[in-house]
Amino acid sequence: MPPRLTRTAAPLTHALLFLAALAAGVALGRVLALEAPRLRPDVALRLAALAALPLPLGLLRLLTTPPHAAARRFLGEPAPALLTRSLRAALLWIAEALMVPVGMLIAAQFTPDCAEDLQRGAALVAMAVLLAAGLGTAGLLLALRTVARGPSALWASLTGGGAFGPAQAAPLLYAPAFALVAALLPSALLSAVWGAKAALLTPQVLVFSVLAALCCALWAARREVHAVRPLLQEALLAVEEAHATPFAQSQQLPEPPGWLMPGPPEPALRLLARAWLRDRPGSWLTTALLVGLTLLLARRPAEPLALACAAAAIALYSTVRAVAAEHEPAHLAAQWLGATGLLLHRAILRLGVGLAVPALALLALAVATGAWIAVPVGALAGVALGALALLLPPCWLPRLRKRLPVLALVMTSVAIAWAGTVPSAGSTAQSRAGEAP
Amino acid sequence: MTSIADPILRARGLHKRYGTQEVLRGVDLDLARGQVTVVLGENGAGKSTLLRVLAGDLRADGGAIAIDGQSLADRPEAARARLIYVAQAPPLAPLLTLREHAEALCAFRGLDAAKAQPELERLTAALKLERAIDKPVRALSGGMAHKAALVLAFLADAPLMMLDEPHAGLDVRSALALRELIVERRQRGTALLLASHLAEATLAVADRALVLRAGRIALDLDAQALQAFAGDARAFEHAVLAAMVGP
Repeated sequence: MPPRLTRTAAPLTHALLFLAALAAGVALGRVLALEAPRLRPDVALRLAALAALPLPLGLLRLLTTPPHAAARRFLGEPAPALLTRSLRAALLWIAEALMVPVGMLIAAQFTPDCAEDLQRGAALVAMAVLLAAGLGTAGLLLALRTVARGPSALWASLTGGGAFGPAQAAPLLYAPAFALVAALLPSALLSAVWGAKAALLTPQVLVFSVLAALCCALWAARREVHAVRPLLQEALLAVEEAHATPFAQSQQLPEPPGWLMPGPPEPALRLLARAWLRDRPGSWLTTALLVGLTLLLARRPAEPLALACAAAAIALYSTVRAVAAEHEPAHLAAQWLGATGLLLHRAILRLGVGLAVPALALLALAVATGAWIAVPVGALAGVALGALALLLPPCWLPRLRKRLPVLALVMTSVAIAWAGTVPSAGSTAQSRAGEAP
Repeated sequence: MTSIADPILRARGLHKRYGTQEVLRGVDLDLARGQVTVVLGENGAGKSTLLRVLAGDLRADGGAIAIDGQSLADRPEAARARLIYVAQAPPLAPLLTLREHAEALCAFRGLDAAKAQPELERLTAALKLERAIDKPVRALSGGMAHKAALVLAFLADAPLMMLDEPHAGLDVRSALALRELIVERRQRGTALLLASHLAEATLAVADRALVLRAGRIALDLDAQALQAFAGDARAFEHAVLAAMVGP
């Protein structure tokens, strides 16, 4: 048996994680049981978001940058074994997440008075986990296949027909994050149906839906793995290389999007924007995603805390990105090439504003839709946290900047899940009126 | 100290200290236009520090520097616009290409990019970088990245060029090409200040050689004195070594 280099692969660790997930499921089931019946659909959706949240991050790490991959290859572990182990670890990760709804079903046995609701909740959580895992895995495998095989003609035409190397596919590797959002949407829909007409959503229907989703996910994953397995080893190497040296191999380098450079671009701004885009190819995608999430959130301005969280995440993201621009290697290069301090300062300011404009516009929309206190407070908190980054040693900034998109996405996704489940003021009043004798 | 009328660079009483270590102890230096000056010295003698202080990359603890009549302390932007300094590890942006760096350089320094294009091609051809011009700097080897920085420095066409260890990491052909470029630029009236360890390369291009010892100029050889060593690199090395070691 080949030596193990990662503690997470140890059977005992997995056994403990399984037990922990099961215990968490039982505890969450108790939480659900203690809630008022009319609030259970919303709480179940929050639990679904919580259970599905670790999946994208785990899958991304396990399937694109297997732990200690370089060391394992150096020590002689064959590439197919490395890949098999990564896929197995991903499946174990998903199985552990599925232990949460199983724990909830166990909790249902001990609380017969609300067993039906607990079963509904467990099915909802299982569905979110399965959809997030299935869509995330499929997205990742698709990304890896694109990395290994190169783009299709359609993709090439969409991206301008230029060269499309591994690094350009890097944004696709964020597929799991999109999968999380995609998985929560049907769960939110089902939760709404449950809240409005519980009778339509019997546990049997939900269990059948979960089983169908499980079959679909397994079929899609199996098909995808078989189709791309020969290419995956090559893709993993390519992804690793792309992470180490983005854009090093490509012949055509991307230009910054127009919205990043409002007005005629100055040389310093062009230089910084180009360097920024190539260093962080997923940066503009993250901004677009944050904007989309904020738009969703702004449609349901019932939960000030959730809006404040989203506003803080976006403000933090924009501020730290703008602060980090001063520590880009391109900043030093621009100085060396002859840019004056004033020119550079202006360029960084414009770059920061350019990055933040779409998010700020949507924040304004959120303010216009009602939560006029929560949004500015959250945004100010985010800006203040971002300004604190100025106090960090410069060597910390790249690390912080690397993790920030994930942090911002997680914060906003949780805020969405939170706000999406809380009934709006109007509907609460209606339901109260309905409950009144 | 050799005093020069209308120097491109004038430095007086330069002091620089790192903590308790005094690296420069009252350096006075004038550089003439159209002259190649080479600074020699042991490792740690303060050559790179001297170049960085003169280029405004490091702040001197004492003394004054004027470049083309512009005080580096009072008018730093104007003074720095008249020079280009290539450090041992030039700060190029890893994800930008040499061509993109050149575009930015032209924009920052007010050069006509279209007119600079043939010069860029000539310089890249001279240093054998034609195939690397559109690759990100990160994809280049250490020697090629160094050559890319040299191309940009020559493209800048500043009246004062400071090159720290310009021959480091260069293959023989590129080193010879660099020598030709230096000579050509000197003929056009550019002043060049080089830090180097190579006696032969110094003798091939230098009009003046300075030996730095313990933060002071221990030996100042003018063109006439260097002429005496022509073809005898060993004798030159002995003279430099004697100055480095001191009495």
